[in-house]
Amino acid sequence: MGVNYWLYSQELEGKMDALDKGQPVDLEMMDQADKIWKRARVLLFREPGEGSIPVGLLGPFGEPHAEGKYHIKVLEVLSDTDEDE
Amino acid sequence: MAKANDLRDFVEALRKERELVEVNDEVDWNYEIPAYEVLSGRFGGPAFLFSKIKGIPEGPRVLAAPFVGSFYRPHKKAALALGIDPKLDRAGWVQELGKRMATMMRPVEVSSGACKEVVKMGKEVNLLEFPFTYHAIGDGGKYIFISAAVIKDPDSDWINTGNYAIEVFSRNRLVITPYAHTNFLAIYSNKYELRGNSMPVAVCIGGDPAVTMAAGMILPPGLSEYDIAGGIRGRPMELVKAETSDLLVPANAELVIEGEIRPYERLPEGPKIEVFGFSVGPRQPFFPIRVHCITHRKDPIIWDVHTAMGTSAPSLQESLAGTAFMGQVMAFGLPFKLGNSLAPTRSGATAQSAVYKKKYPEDYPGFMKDIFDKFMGLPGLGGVFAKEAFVDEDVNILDYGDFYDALFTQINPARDIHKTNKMTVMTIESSWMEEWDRVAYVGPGGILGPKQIYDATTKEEPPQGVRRLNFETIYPEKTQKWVVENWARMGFKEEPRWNKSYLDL
Repeated sequence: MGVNYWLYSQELEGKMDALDKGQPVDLEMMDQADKIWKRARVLLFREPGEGSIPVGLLGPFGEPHAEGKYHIKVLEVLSDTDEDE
Repeated sequence: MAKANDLRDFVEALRKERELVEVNDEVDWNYEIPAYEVLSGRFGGPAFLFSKIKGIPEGPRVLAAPFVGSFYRPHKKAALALGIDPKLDRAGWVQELGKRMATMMRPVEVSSGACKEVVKMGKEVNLLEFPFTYHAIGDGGKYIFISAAVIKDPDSDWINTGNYAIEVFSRNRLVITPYAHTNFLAIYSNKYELRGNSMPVAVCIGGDPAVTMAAGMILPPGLSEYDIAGGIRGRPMELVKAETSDLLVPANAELVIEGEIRPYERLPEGPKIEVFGFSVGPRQPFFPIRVHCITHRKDPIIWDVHTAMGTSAPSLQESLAGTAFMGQVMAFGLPFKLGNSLAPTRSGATAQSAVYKKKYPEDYPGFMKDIFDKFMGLPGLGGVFAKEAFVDEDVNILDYGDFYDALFTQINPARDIHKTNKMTVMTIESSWMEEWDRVAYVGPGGILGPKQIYDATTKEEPPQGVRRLNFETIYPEKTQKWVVENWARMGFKEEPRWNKSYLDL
């Protein structure tokens, strides 16, 4: 299966308290469309649900695993470009 | 004056030598383009010119696999890029490149250049418009692996250029990853960051391949890669002023990305595929370039290299290793002749080992140890080579037999193997470290590790009459010529390996 976003498992581990709680968390996700990391506010789910999409996980050295094991609902992409003041 | 050489001349040379496959079908920057290069690298295959890239507006093309070489001739396309005979053997290549390097030429400034055909500033900047590629599963992003990143020493007129892995982080951010041994890092850390200043940087893609090749060499502080590029091309490089700083960039570059690195700013980078055939990580903080301006040709050719076995980056490493340290030898007057990496590998890993030929016998007991100490303190050299061997002048270092013979017959194990415990090393060695080793060796100043030096030189004048038994040294020249000329007539099918140059490296 293909997924649209990859998350770092290390970062996800620290946010597992929010899993299936409907509690928004901010995390980095790599958009597979342009291979750019984006910071986003998401809801985390173990099972697929309405509006959620499956994600894959990356280990510390970029090892892909657990593809489709978790799902996210993207509430807001916080940044996909860096503003220069 | 004839037109200056550029990347398009290289493309033409590849075409003429039937080393180029031109692809008009649509291809994907995501995995597909790099995958062609990896397969090409398996058989020393061709370069590719892709003209239609998925999701990228018409215009930019991608030149992939530009330096893919073969095991015994890793330099074949690098030679083509410089107008050198690609059929030269390794010894001939090293000698020719070394000779050219020694004739440095200062660059000249020109008022305009093809790299300015399109200029985009500020909000118009969008790195995602260009077909930078995503090379492998697990990479932290798209990477530029071949470019010349130009910076300037604020205290002198020294312009430094280097070739580093650069992650495309967002529409207007790159993350650049100079290794600890580089002049880039010395200049940035000591002369900009510590003073609280931003450093202008221009990432130049294309132009004369000589610039990028020189940027891949390890040179001593104060020596500009532009001067070396002029030497290896045989004419001065033509440079034009950047739009947003006083940096001088190759006038005929395909694409120039201008920006600044601000002090103490870091962004996460990696993991990524790395030269030497491994993927390295983890994601860690490196130097972001805030991109303020992009200038380019109307139809820029973006060249792209891979780092897997046999692909462009390792082939180029193999081609430049051995000559790269020549600048150090020239600058510091070291008592060695031109060295070369030993035993070509398909991963480019020999760039991490080096062999040096001692020019003359020891002046006094302990002479070599003093030289090693000096050597390890040199910027560049002390940082990059983890395993080094020193042999006598008459050892043919391109011949494994000759080299290992010296290694196994000339070393007193009690005295002649020197080990340092914590010196700067390259990423690949540290990649093998377990977590508990990394705690001990990896520090804020860079990656540390042990190094070994093998002193396989003769430690005192050999007794009179003792000579190494080479075809070239034990027969009169007349006899050598006679035997070589009659070689084929005698029924031998193999080319006779008779070449003074093998002894003269």
